Amino acid sequence: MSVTETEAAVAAGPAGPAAPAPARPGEGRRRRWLGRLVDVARTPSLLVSYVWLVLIVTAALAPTLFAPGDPLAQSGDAMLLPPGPEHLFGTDDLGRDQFTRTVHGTRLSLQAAVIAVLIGLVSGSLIGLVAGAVRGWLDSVLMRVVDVMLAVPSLIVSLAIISALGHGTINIAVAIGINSTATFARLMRSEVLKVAGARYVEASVFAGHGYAYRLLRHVVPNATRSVLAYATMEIGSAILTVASLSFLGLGAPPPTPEWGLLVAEGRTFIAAQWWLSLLPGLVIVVSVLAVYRIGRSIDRGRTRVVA
Amino acid sequence: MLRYGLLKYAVRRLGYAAIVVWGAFTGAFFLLYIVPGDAAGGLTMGASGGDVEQLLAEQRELLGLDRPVLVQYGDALSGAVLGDFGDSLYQRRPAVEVFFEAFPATLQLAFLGLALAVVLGVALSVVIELTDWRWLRELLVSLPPVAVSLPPFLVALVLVQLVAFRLGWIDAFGDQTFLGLLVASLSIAVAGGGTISQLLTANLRGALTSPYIETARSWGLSRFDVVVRHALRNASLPVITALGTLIGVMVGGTVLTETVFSRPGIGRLVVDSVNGRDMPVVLVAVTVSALIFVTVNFVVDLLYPLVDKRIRLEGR
Amino acid sequence: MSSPEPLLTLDGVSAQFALPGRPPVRVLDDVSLSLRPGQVLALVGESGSGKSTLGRTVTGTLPENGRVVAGRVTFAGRELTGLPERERRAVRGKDIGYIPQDALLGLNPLLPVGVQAGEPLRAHGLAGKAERRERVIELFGKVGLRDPETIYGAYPHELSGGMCQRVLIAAAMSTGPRLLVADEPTTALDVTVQKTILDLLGGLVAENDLAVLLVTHDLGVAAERADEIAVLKDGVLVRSGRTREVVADPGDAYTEQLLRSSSLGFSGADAAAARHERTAARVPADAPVVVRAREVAKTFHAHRGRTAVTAVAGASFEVRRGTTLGIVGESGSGKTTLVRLLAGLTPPSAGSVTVDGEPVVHHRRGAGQAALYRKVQMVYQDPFASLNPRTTVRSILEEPLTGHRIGGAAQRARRVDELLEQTGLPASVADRYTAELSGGQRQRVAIARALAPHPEVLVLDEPVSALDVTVRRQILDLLLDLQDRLSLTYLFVSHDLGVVAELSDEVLVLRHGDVVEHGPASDVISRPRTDYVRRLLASIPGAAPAAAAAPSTP
Repeated sequence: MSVTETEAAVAAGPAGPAAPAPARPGEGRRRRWLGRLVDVARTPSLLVSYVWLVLIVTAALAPTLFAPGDPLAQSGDAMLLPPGPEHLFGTDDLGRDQFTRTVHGTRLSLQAAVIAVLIGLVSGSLIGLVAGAVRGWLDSVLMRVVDVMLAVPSLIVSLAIISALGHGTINIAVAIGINSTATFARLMRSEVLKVAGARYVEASVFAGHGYAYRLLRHVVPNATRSVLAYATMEIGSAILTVASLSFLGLGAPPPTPEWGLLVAEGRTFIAAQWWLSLLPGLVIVVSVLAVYRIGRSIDRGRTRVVA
Repeated sequence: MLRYGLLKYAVRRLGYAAIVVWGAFTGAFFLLYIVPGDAAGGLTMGASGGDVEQLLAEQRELLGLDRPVLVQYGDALSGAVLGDFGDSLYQRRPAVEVFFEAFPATLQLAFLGLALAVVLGVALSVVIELTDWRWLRELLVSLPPVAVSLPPFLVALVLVQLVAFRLGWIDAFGDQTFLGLLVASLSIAVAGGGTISQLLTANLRGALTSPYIETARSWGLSRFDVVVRHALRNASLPVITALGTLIGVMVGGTVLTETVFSRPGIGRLVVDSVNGRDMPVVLVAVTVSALIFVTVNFVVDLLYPLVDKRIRLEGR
Repeated sequence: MSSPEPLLTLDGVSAQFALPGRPPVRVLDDVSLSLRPGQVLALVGESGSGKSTLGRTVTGTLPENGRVVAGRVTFAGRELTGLPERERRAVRGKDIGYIPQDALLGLNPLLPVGVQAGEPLRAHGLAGKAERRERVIELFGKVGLRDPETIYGAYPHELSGGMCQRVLIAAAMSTGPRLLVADEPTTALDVTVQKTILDLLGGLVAENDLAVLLVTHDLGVAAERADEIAVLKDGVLVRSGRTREVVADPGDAYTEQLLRSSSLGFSGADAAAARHERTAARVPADAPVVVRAREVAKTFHAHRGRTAVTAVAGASFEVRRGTTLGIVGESGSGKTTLVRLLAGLTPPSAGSVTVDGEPVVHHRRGAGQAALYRKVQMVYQDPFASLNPRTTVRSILEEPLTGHRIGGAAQRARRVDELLEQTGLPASVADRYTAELSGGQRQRVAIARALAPHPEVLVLDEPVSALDVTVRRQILDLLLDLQDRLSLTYLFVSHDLGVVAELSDEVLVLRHGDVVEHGPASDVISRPRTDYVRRLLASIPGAAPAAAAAPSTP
C-alpha cells in the first residue's frame, strides 16, 4: 500500500535512523540478535570487553589452560624475581609464580562476585517488584527497610555482616549480596512504577486480561532491562568490593590465591617489587572495566551512579 | 502558612531520620549479638583446654549476654539514646569514646575526599564539553569509567609508591602533614570523582540537547556560557542528589585508605573490631554512619529547592 | 515600502547529517530562497522535510553532526556559510533572532525568565545589568505581558505556554534584529493563544520592517500569515511563490495534498452539513442510545486535600449507536478527565456513565472491568507511548483476543490478518516490532487493537493530533470509513474544532470543566451561542471568514 510507504519515508528524518527495509515475516527477533552482534563487532571497546570476559571466565573454569603450574609451589631459588618470560608477573617472596597465582585466583574472585550479585538481584528484584506492584503499606514498610540499609556505607555493612558470619570469601559474597539487595529493590521498584505509569500499560487494561497477566507481560519485561544492566555492572562493583575486603584480610586465609589477597600480600614490597601488587591489581581493573562496559552497552544511553 | 509548612516538613524529616538511625542500630544489634559466636567468643580467643567453656560462661555473665535477647536489646537501645554503647571489649573504655577519638581524622579525610571528588569530577565534565579537540575529548571521556574501575586500595598503593617512595614527598606511614592528608584523600577522590563525572557528563549531554539550550545558542551565547551558565545548572541536579550516597562511599573508602597509608582513624579501628568481634565499637560505627547519611541527605534536601525553584520543600 | 534588495538569500544550499555507522543522510538538497525586509516567508513541510534544518542553517545552530555541504547563505550582503564560529555568533541573536517551537521547553526551568530574556543583550555586550533589566521589562510590556515587573522574576513553570512564548519573542526582539526565524512558534499552544501570538508577530513585522522566516507544518497558518510560501519535501523545495499563487494553483501533487489536509478555506458549517448527510444515510433517527452520561463530575484534591480542583463539573449527554460525540476543549478544559471517566480509567466523584445500560466501573487494577472493555475500547493520542515497544504487532493484536477469550488459535490468526486489512496495514507488518513502524502505521495498529474484540464504542483521545498533516487526513478517513462499515459509536476528543466538525454529529464544548455548549454539530458550529466557541472557530488558521459567524472578541 502506497500510503504507508510515504509515511515511512517521511519518518526517515534527520532525527533518527530510518525504519529498516521491510522484512519478511518472522524475521524481527532474529534480526535483533544479528544487529546486536554486528553492533558488538563494530565497537572495538565492546569487542575487547567481551574477549576479556571470555578469557577470565575460562580462567575461572579451567585455570590450568593458562597456567599449568601449581599456585602454591614455592621455590627457594626464584624469590622476588621481576616479570620476565619465565614468570610473567614475577615471583613473590616464597618463590611462587605470581601469574599462576593470579590465574588460579580468578575462580574465587569471580565466584564471589557472581554469588553476591545473584543474591542481591534475586532478593532485591522480588522485594522491589512486590513493593512496586502491591503499593500501600507493604510498599512503605519495605522501602523504609531499604532506606535503612542504604543509610550505612556498604563497606561498613559488609564488615558488620562479616563480623557476624565470620571470615571467608563466600561470607564476603553473602555480605555484599545482602547489602546490594537494597539497591536492587529500590531500582526494581522505581522501574516498575515508571513502566506501570506508561501509556501502554494503561492501554493493556482494555484487552481484558487480569492484573497479574498485565504485570508479567508488560511491566516486568520492560522493567527488568535496566535492572539486568545494573546487575551486570554490579558484578564489576562486586569484584571491587570482594577484592577490597580480601585486601583487608577478611576473605580467604593465605596462601589461597585470591585477587585482593594477592595485592595485599604484595603490599609489603610496594617500594621495590611494585609489580607484585600492581599486576594482579591491573587484572582487577581490566576485569571491572570490561564488565562495566558490557553493562553500559545493555543499558544504552543511561548512566547510573556506580559506587 | 509557609512557616507552618516548613515546620511540618522539618518535623517529618526528623521523624524519618530517627527511624533510619534506629533501624540501622536495631539491624546491626541483632546481626551482631544474635548470630552464633558472640562477643564473648572474641575475648576468649586464644584460650585453650577444658577451661574455655567456663571462661566463656564467665565472660557472658560479665557482659550480660546470658539474659533474654529483648532485655539486652532494650538496655542497649536506652543506653544508645543516651550515648552509651557499652565498653569496648579490648580497651575497657566506653566504645563511644574509643570511636570518637579516631573519628575526626576520618571525617576530615572523607570530606576532603568528597570536595576533591566534586572539583575533579565537575572540572573534567566541563572540560569534556568545552574542548574543541576531538582527540582530547575522546581521551577525557574515557577517564571516568577507568576511575570507577580502579580498586581504591590499588590507587592508594600506587600513590604511596609514587609520592612516598619515588618522590619522597610524604611519609609512607602515618604522615601527619597536610600534603599527606591531601594525597590520602586523593586516593578516595578518584572513584568518587569518576562517579560524579560519569553522571554529570551524561546529564550535560542530555541538557545540551534540550530545547532551552537550542534557544540559548540562538541568542548568540558563547559555548562557555551555554555550558556553564545554562546547561551545568540543570545537569548538576542529579549530582546533588547523588552526594548523599557518595559521602557514604567516601566514609567506606577511608577504611581502605587509612590502612594503606597507615593513618589514624576509624578505618583500622573498625577492621580490628570486626576481626576481634568487638561489637560495641562496630555498633557505634554503624549508627554514626547512618547519622552522617541522614544529616547529609537532609542538607541536600534543603539545598535542592535553592537550585530548582520547581521543588517546594513542603510538597516533598 | 519593502526594499527590492533581499535581506536573506539561500543559494543552492545542501545539508547533511552524519550518523554513526551509516552513510550520511542528506536533509536539504539544493534549496534556493530569498526574503526581503518586511516580508514573511513561510517554510512549509511535514516532519522530516528538513524545514527545521533550514531554519537552523540560517541561524547557524545545526547540531554537531550536521553541516552545510554546498551552497551559500547570504544575509544583508554578507556570506554566512563558512564564517568562523566567533563571527557567526556575532550575527546570531543580534541581527537574526530565533523563536523556538515549544515555548515551555524553550526556556531554562532554573532561571528567572527576565534574566533569560536579557541574555541576548548580555551575550552581545549591548547593555549593562541594570539597563538590561530596564529594557527587558519595557519589552515585556510591548509583547503584551501584563505586570512585566513581576514576570521578570518569575520562573517558566509559573507561566503559561503563551506567556513563555511572549518572553521568547521579547528576548528575540531585544537586540533589534532584522530577521526572525520562527520555528513552529505556535504548535505547542492552544488554538486561541496561537492566534494571539501570530497576531503579535504580525504586528512586530509591520512595526519594525522585520523579515520573518516562519517554519510551519500547517499550510493554513502559512496562507493566512505569509507573503510567500516555500514547500519542502524530503529536503527538496517542491513549490515556492507568492502565497496567493501557491494557494490558487499548487501545481504540484504534494502541495496539493498539503492544501487538502489543511483547514484552508475550511467552513465549519459546510463540514457539519456534509457530516449530517453522511450520518443520516446510514443511521436511523431512532437508533438506540449506547452511551449515557448523567451529571458525571470529577474533583481532584491537590496539596494534600487542602484545595479541591474541579476537572469536570457535571456533564450529561447521550450518544446513539453509529454516531459520534465530539468533545472539544483547550488544555485544562477537563476533556482528558472526561475521557478517562468515560473509559472507566478513573472513578467519577458524582454522577454515572452507562454503556448499553451497564454502568461504567473503575478498578485500580482493572478487576471486573473485562465485560466493559468488550464493548468499549480506546485509542490514545500518542501511538509511540501507547504500544509496548518490546512486542510485535501480532502479539499486540492477539492480546485482546485472548483476554476476551475470542476464538481459538487459528481463528485468532485469521482475525489478526483481518484487522490488519481493515486498518490498511500490509500483512507483513504483523511480525515487526512497533519501534520499526512510522507514526501513522502505529496509530493504525492502535486502532486495529481497539477493533479486535468487536467493540461498540471507541473512545478516541486526540487520535490524530500527534501525527503529520497528510497522515492525519488518512487516519481520519480510516476512522470515518470504519464507522460506516462497522456502525461504531465514537467519543471523539480533540482540541481542534475543525476536525471535530467533520466527524461529529453532536458536539460538547468544555471550558475549565464546564460544558459551555452542547448540541447537534451543525447548530453549535453554524450558530454558536457563546463568544468562546466563536473565538475557537475564528482561531482555525486559514478558515473561510464565513466560518466565524460573529466578530471575535479578543
